[in-house]
Amino acid sequence: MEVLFSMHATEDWQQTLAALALRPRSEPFSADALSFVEAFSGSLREHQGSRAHPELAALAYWFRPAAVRQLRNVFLDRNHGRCIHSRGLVFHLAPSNVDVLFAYGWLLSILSGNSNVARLSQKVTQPREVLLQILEGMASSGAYGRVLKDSLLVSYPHDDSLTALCSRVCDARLIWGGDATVEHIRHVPLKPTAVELAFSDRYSLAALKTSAVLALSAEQLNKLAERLANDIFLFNQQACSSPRSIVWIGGDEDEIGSARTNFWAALERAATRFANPPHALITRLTDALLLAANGGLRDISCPLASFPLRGFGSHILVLERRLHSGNGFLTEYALDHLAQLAGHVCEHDQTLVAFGFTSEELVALMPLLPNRAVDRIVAPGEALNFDFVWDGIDLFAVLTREIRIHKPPQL
Amino acid sequence: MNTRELDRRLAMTTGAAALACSFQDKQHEKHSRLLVGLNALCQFHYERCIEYRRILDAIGAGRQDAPSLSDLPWLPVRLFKHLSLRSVSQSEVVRTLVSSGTSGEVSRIYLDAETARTQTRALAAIVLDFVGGKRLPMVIVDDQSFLKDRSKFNARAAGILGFSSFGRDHFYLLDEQLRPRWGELLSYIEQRSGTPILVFGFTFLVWQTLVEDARAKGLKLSFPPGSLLIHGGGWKRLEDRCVSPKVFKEALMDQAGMTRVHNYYGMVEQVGAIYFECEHGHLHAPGFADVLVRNSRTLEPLPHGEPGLIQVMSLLPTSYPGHSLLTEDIGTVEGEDQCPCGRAGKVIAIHGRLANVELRGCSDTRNTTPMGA
Repeated sequence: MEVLFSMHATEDWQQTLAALALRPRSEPFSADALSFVEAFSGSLREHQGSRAHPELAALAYWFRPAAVRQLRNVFLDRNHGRCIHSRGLVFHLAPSNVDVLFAYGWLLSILSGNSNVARLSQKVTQPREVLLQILEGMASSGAYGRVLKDSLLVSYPHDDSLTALCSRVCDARLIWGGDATVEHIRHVPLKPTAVELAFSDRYSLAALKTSAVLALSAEQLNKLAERLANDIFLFNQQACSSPRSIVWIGGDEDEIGSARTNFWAALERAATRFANPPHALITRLTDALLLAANGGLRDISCPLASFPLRGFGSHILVLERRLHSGNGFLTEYALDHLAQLAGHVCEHDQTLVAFGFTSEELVALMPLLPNRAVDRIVAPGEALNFDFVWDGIDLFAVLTREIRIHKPPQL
Repeated sequence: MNTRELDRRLAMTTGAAALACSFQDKQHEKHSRLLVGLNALCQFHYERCIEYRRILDAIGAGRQDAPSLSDLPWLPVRLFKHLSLRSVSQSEVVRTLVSSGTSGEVSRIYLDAETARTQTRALAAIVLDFVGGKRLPMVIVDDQSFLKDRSKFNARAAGILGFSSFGRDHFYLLDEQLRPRWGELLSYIEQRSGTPILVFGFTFLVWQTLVEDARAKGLKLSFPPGSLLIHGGGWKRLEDRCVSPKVFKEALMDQAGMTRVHNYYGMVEQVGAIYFECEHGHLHAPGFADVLVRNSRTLEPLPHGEPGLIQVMSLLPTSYPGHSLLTEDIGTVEGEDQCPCGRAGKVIAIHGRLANVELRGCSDTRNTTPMGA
């Protein structure tokens, strides 16, 4: 067990854990928590690491002071007249390759007034070091002690006994990171009164109305491509919300054909500012040929070195959701009507990036969707934006608890 | 093409028939012979392997013959880690070769009796050409545990088994914990009283044992004059220790008195078609196989001398569609028909593996179970 950050004098992390579990409950959005989160995001924004790592810049932006105050207003509005307390001790399990993701849950948990223990991955990454550096800097300034001492950041090799120690005392467990991780951690018993939130592997796609793409001027098409390029390529197409499929809605064969020609030319141009190492090329090509071999794709007619690589199929296979490893590969499908999309999505599907549809059209799709399919519909360019309602769950519902006060009976 | 014509072309150019011509054909003669055979193999596998056919259909290949070797369709070698590809029925499979991947994924290569036999003969033809036909006493720098369980046929076992037929009185230098049995080796050498010895092993194990461990124990070995070492399996782990082929050879000369050292390049996906190092330090493509180097970003063929991804082509595989594969090895074609050793065809150099890039997703595992039947 390696303690990455702790404000407690004791060397014994279990003692710190016990102290955090016993710490008195506090109000969500306290002045201390607000000023801590604002200072944290401010330091992060100014840190040079945020220029090299867009995920850090995105985190800093999401928790910028104006946004945090807005978040507080939403929270207070929604809970007007109700008695909302912090949940208690929250145990965060960060994914192994994007540490930063856990920070959203962790900062929201701080705003909610919780104490926190977080297991970060064993892998030393620059973003992880930046987060720790900022915490150390804040600790040495002496100003945020009351909030800082509520967080214990640790790292340890996969060890169920340590996970069990944290799970036994926490009031909520947040698992980031893949079906296999979620399945494994769920075997580790949780305190009976604790709640759990797990973020598993998800699939995301984009639906484009063919006629709307054809109606764009060259300049507008480039703007659309720029936005989608951010959605798709920013994390090597490996975020849960990075679209992996493009579904063309409406249009005859010729119309779809010319929309595709224009669209892919624009997206290839927009993709040039993202990294495309040879290893990614081989990986996406292998994925595409695997899908073709299994009957999922029938037409990969672009040059095999294209970035992005694309292939046309008739139906998104379950297999595709499992094997598609990002890296700049998009499968393509064509449907006559948006309503038909309901027959192609399933519970794995998280984000639908939609372009060219009216709100009415999108709302009309909702009742048709299968159980649990699609958790969010966003405009191009917004796929990776975090939301406190994630995977269909309001994080505050997990990070806080409500004490229901019933009127005393009139006797 | 009708079936009879295809069979005729296959019979004339591929499999066992390909072995007759080892290193005599100049590159342009070889090119036209290989092209006929490899086109026939594309057709053959297209008709017998549904997954291969779907891939070729999707990429718009396989409908007509490729006009040149660089136009032949190829499969990324990693595909064999995820997909069972065979062009014979399961009942005809006599052996399954398994390559152990770094991330726990394994390739599975299905051999029928004919492909297995052809591979063995191909390897023999190459070794005969470089080493001669005399069977020497043989030291294998490995343990013999694989002999007990022949169902686990990984690349190492396949290599040892393939090469062990070129020697006699086999001595396995390592025990099951991969510790060298130095005492036994010394008496083995002594008993042979000056007869040259053939040493075989995987590059990294050879280095670790004959150089590092012997050095640490202050042991100087002296293999009799005329002894030779054949080693293969890749430089990756030696590169990490900054051991170049030159350093490797010098250390073996110094530490073990080994004057003849032959490296070879080969892979479990194309057993038999190995690229053997001649006395001038060049890896030679055998007559029934060839290489192309492709730009790792555009996948276009590169001129000689420029490094890129190695594509290997072989006339041997008939039980699985592995006749044209894009590897993840980086190398160069150093020339053709010009090696002072007199062997015609291309010579290559291998520089290492394509660098893996860090994955950045929000899930830390992706399911990579092999698919297909």
